Amino acid sequence: MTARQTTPFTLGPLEIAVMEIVWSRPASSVHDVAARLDRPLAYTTVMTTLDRLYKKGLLERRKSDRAFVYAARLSRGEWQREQAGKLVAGLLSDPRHPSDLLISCLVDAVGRHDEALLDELERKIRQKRKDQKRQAITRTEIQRRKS
Amino acid sequence: MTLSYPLRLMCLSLACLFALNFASSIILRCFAARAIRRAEHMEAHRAARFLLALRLVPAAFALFCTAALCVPSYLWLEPASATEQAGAACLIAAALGAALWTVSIARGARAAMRSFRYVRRCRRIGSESGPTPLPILSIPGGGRVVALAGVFRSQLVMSSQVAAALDPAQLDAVVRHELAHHVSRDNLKRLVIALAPGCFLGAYERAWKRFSEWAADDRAAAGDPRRATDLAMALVRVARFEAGALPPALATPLIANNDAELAARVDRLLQDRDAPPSSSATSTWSIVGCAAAFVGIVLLAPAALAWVHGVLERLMN
Repeated sequence: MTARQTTPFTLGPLEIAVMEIVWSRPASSVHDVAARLDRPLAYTTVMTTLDRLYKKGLLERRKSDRAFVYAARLSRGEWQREQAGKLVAGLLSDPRHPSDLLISCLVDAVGRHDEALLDELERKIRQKRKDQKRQAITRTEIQRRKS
Repeated sequence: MTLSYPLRLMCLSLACLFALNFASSIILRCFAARAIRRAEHMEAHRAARFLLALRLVPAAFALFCTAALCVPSYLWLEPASATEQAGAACLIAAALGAALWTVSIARGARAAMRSFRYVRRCRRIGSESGPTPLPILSIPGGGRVVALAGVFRSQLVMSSQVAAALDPAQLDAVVRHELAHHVSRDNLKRLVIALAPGCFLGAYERAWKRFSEWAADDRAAAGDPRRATDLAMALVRVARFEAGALPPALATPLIANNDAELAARVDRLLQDRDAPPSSSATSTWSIVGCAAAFVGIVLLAPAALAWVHGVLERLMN
């Protein structure tokens, strides 16, 4: 039996770029990925990167016309959730870190994030209200001029 | 195992219920991602209806086929005097069918009971106010309590702190939102979902909840941008309260404990949208009509029942 991996994968910049392309399409060949990368890279480099991601379990592949076609095994959200879970599980299982301290830091961070998100949403709503008022004033002006 | 005539009928019915429910659930599970993507291109109320229908298909299909095909074919074509051995597969499927339906009925009954107790407790400690179409049951204390509770006699339950924090326009938007849930009988739909067995169909349930919230938002805003921003602001204000205890499963809370969901709802409300059309009973009647036509066709075609009886014989042995 293999032990469940609790440490998150660390992906390199090229691997992240490749994953972004694979996530944006239902299926991609090596050629598709190479064509969509920001910088020109050798076909074999892209092939090796895709193969490495496949071996890490992030991609699944099938053969089509003697070439592999790759697809993401998990969606971006699922992968991020899995990584976050592994990170937290790894931290909590480490005897060097007191778990209650970690949990309290995590709760604080979540609380700060929630507040920041709510502030941002409130700012958007206020902006929208201002726009609505401005539009209403403009409409009244136009009607007054017409009459 | 040798079974008598009525026991065989019960065993076959339960086995059919399980087999049909399980098979259709698996098929639907395979298409869940595609169905939800398709729903995302529909209007929210249509998407909610579409996903609810898909979630209920396995249970409805299994019940319909068992009641309209299996039972009539057995009663009509199975000789009453014959004794027959029931195979292990049939017995296992029947046991699974019994377990599946028992669990679902127990889950539904427990959820209904909890909801009933929750509303009763809120009525005992709270006070009803407001000449609105949906009176507000204000309960003392704080926390993020805004929910439509109760299946048949729904009640809008709101904590006194939330009620005090919202201005009249925001309160009106919240009442309209919960009224939309009340009109579309979302709590009753939650009960039906709890009662309807379906394996691996959680994705449909989650998506239905999301779209039913969006549909209620659309109906509350009714195409009025001002009302939409009032509702968006009310959502943000309510989200600032501590989450507290979860309402029972058959209650529709104003906001779920999910930041991404809240942000998506606020963003939707800030986009200018037309008012959704008023719901019609056409689709319900078309389903009832199709079902009646199907029963008629089946009853007029004895060959179909004979074929079903052959399948049942195989299942039994």
